[in-house]
Amino acid sequence: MGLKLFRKSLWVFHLNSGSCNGCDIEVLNVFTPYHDVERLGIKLVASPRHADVIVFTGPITRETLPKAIRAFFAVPEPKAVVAIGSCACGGGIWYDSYAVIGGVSAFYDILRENYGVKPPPTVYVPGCPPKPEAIIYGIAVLRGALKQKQRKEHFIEEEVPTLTRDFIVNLEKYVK
Amino acid sequence: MFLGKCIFCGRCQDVCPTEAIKLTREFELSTLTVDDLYQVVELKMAKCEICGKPYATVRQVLFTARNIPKDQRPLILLCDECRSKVSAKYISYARW
Repeated sequence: MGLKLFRKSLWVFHLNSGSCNGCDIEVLNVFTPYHDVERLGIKLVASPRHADVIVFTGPITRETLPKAIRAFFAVPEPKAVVAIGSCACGGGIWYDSYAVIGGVSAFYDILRENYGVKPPPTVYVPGCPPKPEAIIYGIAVLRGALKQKQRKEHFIEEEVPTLTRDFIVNLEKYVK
Repeated sequence: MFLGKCIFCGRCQDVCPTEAIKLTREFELSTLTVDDLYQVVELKMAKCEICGKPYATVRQVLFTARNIPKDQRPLILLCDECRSKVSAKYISYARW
């Protein structure tokens, strides 16, 4: 599974949507000589109008919501979104705060309700902050170069002993 | 568990007495949907003997029962409220 939207270099616009600056520093780390992703054609641009990909770092606070919407619509189609950090994925430790929208998925709900916009292809990179390697892996998943490893897991407990007074008191007799 | 809320601090691993949660060095967790970030566990609840209210998982009750003396074990079949009432009754009898 992967998205083959872009055949050429990705130009990335980095938008701080209420982040604590931890993820921003990790995004900048990706462009340092150690993990030089500019050699792969990935480049930070200053304007969303030049970008293919918009990177959200942060849980999208109420203050940044109008700016995030403006920047989102300024990116030309086809576009993709990378949500970096636990905050951008699902709100992080501010998931129930009144001051934040609650991540990119909640941001899409607002876009769908108010503007009738379908969510673009999105990669969620959890971590607080994610390692630079994790961000590069996320971009590789977006490009379709690598496969996604993480899957939803659902465990349901099937058989449990019925709790009776006799069972609890003489527990060692019944269960090892 | 939802990875979009986790900050990977490891507190849950430190406090877990049964070592059910373990953090790994895996960091390649990126997904294409939010749904894949969820890990759901459904456990059976134990019901209070007196009021019938579910109060804790069966696993937790069994784990607790192993670690307390035998004469106190029937009390953990009750929910918090009923347990405080019943144990208060025991104490008041003991004073008489």
